[in-house]
Parts: sequence; C-alpha cells; structure tokens
Amino acid sequence: MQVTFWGTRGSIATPGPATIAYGGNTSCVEVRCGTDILVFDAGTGIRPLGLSLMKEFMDRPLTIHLFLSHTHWDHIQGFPFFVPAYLPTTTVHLYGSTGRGRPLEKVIRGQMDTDYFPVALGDMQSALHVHEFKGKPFQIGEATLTAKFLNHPGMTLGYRITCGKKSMVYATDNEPYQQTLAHLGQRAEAGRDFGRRLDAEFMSFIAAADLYIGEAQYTDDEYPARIGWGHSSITATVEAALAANVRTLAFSHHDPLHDDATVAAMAETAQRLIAERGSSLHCFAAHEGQTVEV
Amino acid sequence: MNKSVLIIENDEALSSVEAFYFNEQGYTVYTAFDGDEGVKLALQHKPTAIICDVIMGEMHGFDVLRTLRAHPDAKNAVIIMTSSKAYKPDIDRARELGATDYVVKPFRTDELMALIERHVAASQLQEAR
Repeated sequence: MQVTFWGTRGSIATPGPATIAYGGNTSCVEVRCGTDILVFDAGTGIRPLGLSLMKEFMDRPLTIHLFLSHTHWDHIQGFPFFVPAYLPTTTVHLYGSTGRGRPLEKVIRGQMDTDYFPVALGDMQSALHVHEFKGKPFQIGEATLTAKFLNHPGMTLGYRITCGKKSMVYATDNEPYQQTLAHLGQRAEAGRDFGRRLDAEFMSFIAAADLYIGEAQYTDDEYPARIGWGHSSITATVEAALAANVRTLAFSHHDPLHDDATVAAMAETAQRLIAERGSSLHCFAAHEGQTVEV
Repeated sequence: MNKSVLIIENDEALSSVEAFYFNEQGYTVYTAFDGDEGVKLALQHKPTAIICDVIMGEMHGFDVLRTLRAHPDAKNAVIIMTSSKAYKPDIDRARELGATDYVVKPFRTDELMALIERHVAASQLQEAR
C-alpha cells in the first residue's frame, strides 16, 4: 500500500507560515492498494488530491472509493472542490455511517445546499454511489475494509484496511472512553471500568497494524481542559499503539492552535515515551504531502 | 395495570440483565437486538416504555427514534435512549428527535426502572389532562 497525506490538520484549515512543515489542510489521506484508489475523508486536503488525480488521469475513467470517518466540516469541506467529481468520466463511491436520524447522502447534500455553496451535489457530473456502513466489511478489489464506531460526537467511524499481507488503520477522531465515561457519565469509577473495556475493543481493532493513523490533537498538558471534546492526548494515542503492538504510528489531525514547533515537540514526547518502554514502535507526526509505503 | 418494556439492545449480555430485572419486577419484557426488529416489536406490542441503544447493527437508535416518533402509534411513547457515548451533541440530538430521556452507560438497572416509571407517570398524567 502507498499512503499519502493530503491533509493533516484537525478542526479547521490553518494556512500560513506557522504551519508550513506539517500543513494546514484538513483531513484527507490517499491509499493506493493495487490499482484501486481509496481516500479517507474529504477535508480541504482532497482539493490538491483532486488536482493531482486530474494530472494523472486526464480524461481517462477514474474510480474513487471515498471513506468518510464522519461528517464534521473538517472531514467533508473539501468535497465541493474535488474537481474529478465534476467529470462524467469519474465514479465516486462514498462510504460512511448514516447520520443521527438522517441518511448519509442527505447530510452530504446539505453541505452543498445553495445557501452554503453555489453548486448542488446533484449538479456534479460524476456518478455518485453512497454506501452506508451496516456492520459488514467492504471489499474493494484486493482491499478488505472493516469499520468500527469511535468515541467522538456524531456517528464516527475508524477503518481498518487489509491489502495483501499488510494492514493499516485510519482512526483520527477518537477519545478514550475511560475518560469520557469517568468525567461525563453518571458514575465515575464504574464509568472508568466500563470505559476500559470499550477502549480494549478499540485496541483489538488496531492490533498489530503495520500503520496506525491515529490522532493526538492535544498535548498532555492541554487534554485535561478538553475532556469531552472527542480527541486524544499524545500519550493516550502512543499508549494505545504500544498496547496494541502497532508497527508504525502516524499521528495526525493536528490541532489548529499547534504551530510546527509544537507538533515537532509532541513527536519528541512520543519518541521519549516509546524509548522509555524499550519498544520498537516507529512513530512520526504526519505532514502534508508525505508518502509512506506500508 | 399491566406494565411492559421493550429493550432494543445489540449487547446480548446487557439485554439479558435488563430483561431479567424488569421481568422480576413484574414487567412483560420484549427484546430486540437490532433497530428494525425493535421498530416492528414497538408497533406490534405498544409497550409502556422502550429502552433503545444508540449504536447497533443495521438500524441505529437515532433512526429507531425518528421512525417511531413519526408513527401515530408511537409518537407519545416513553423512549429512553442508552449509550456509552456521553457527548452533549449526541444527547441534544436524541432530545431533538424526541427522546424522552438519555442515559449514559454504565447505568444501574434499578435506577433506569425508576426513571422509566417517573416518565410513564408523567406521561399518563399528561394524557389524563
């Protein structure tokens, strides 16, 4: 698998000199598995991906399998600017969870309502097929994808992709249940215990992945004031990767308040923790434009 | 008065615990392990109260809630949503869709029953007026 990060920022795009190194575009990751093109999330990073695909495919038929983790702005906002979706030679298969009481297609259509954007979803000329996750794996050519609901507001999915003998996980918006249930639930101790059980299920989901694209939106110092915001601290994400025997951890979904120096310092924090444990886990902070082979 | 409860929950262990407790307390208990089945049983039996998990297999709790609230036979039913998701936006959405209440897991079954009985009493008082 070849994995390219087109958008590594969380919450909102942050262009400017302070984010040159890690990037300002929001969530979008391209995965090539054989000849299939899988895309994870349609944040603003999908715009440059679209331009790159246009150069590569010109007017040749193009099929995109776009997997949405959820429909918060930073994961869908680039879709109206995804140029291939305007071409009749393109087919877009869109995957994700149903919304909270609304179908996925309706949620996506809503973002392109004429009050918000001048072109309606139906005016895009590509063939769009929407596939809602119903608990069963998706098979795309050689790739098998399973999905799991994560602990984040809304119907949020993480995906595990197996391609040949390699596997990777894309799960960028997730907070440990033991934190939310202890602090937001009705009973602290029982909530923490129940949360640990649910967090163990997440670790099974990422277990032994060759690449785990996770999140570390907050430093350890920031997190206590942001419990219940649906994201993790750097230490929580590294701990999960260590416990799950992941081979490589790429942390992404960088906080919009974090400049390049802060993200680099978080990577150092992660490296220190991994070294203290004597682990061989490879860890890096993902940056826009970065390509890794899995 | 005959009391009945429908438990829509895909965690079979949790469903069993709830079913056992409510049955012991004199309730007629119906159980469904998926939203589709839950909607069918809700409309068929019209239970006194419905306990519905948010994240399930084919049909999620939010869709169950929206479907039942749109049906004349269930629009006034007592529906308690349960979930391990404790986020305010999810709780707010459940209330917007018409949930009577939202209970974060883990919960004590006796407290859930007391909550249901309070809501059922309030609902009956409302209907009597």
